[in-house]
Amino acid sequence: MLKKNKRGEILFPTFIFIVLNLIFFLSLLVFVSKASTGTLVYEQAYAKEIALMLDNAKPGMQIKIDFENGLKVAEKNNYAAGKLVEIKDNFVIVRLGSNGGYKFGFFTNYDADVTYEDKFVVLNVKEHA
Amino acid sequence: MLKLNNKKGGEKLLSIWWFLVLGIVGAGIVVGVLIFYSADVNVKQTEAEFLYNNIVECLTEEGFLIEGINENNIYEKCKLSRQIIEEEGFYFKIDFSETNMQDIVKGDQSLEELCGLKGKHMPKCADKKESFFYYDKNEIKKIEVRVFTASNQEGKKI
Repeated sequence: MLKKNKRGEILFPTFIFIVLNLIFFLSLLVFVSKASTGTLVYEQAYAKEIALMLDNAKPGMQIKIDFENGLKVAEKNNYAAGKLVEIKDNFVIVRLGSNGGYKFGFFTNYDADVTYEDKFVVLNVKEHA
Repeated sequence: MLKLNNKKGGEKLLSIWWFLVLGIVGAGIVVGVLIFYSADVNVKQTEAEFLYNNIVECLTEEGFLIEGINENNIYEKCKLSRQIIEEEGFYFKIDFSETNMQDIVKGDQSLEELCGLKGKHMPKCADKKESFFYYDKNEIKKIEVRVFTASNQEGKKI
């Protein structure tokens, strides 16, 4: 009976200590590896770049944007087949991963169709439907 | 017995310090990574300049100031989105004081006062005068119109 108590006292805190340490280091590793893909930076940069282009666009224009780095990041995040760029209600939404994305507005009252050609995103600017 | 208790206390104290050190190291790494990878791309000045160009372009036709532009039809004439201008941190003011037309003010008016202040969340502005020809009682006059634009759009992580 005494032996059981003694083992319980010694092993249980040690076990918790090791588990807590493992949780801490694993979560830190996951955070750093996720952040280092550059998803946040690229989503923001592409959303703003596209919005600025649409701020200066006129209906009938076709805009081609080099999206190579964005595609690389999306592939890393297993999201290459997802809806990477979306134009909705005067907002540009760029998603390079399954978790969220970045949203940025453009002030010209136009709409645009988004298509993909190789490593380029192609925007066809048009009047609102 | 007393010795055993002290040892236990020492172990607990070590654990507390250990987790405190881990916490500090972890927080340092998280803050460092966040600062490095969340570097903000600030395009407010460019947006303010673009808005200025769009407005000036729609105010004129062959050098003449278009009459009939007012607060009610400015969005439609200049093809601007009311929702974005009024809800996403934009502002513009067209000063027609040299004509008999009414000034046009749209968007968040507080941005005009904040312009020029330094800070990450402060607006950026474009404030210039543009020359136009203007018909005044069948006489062509050269007038100046002041156009002030500001952007404080932050963008959103969704």
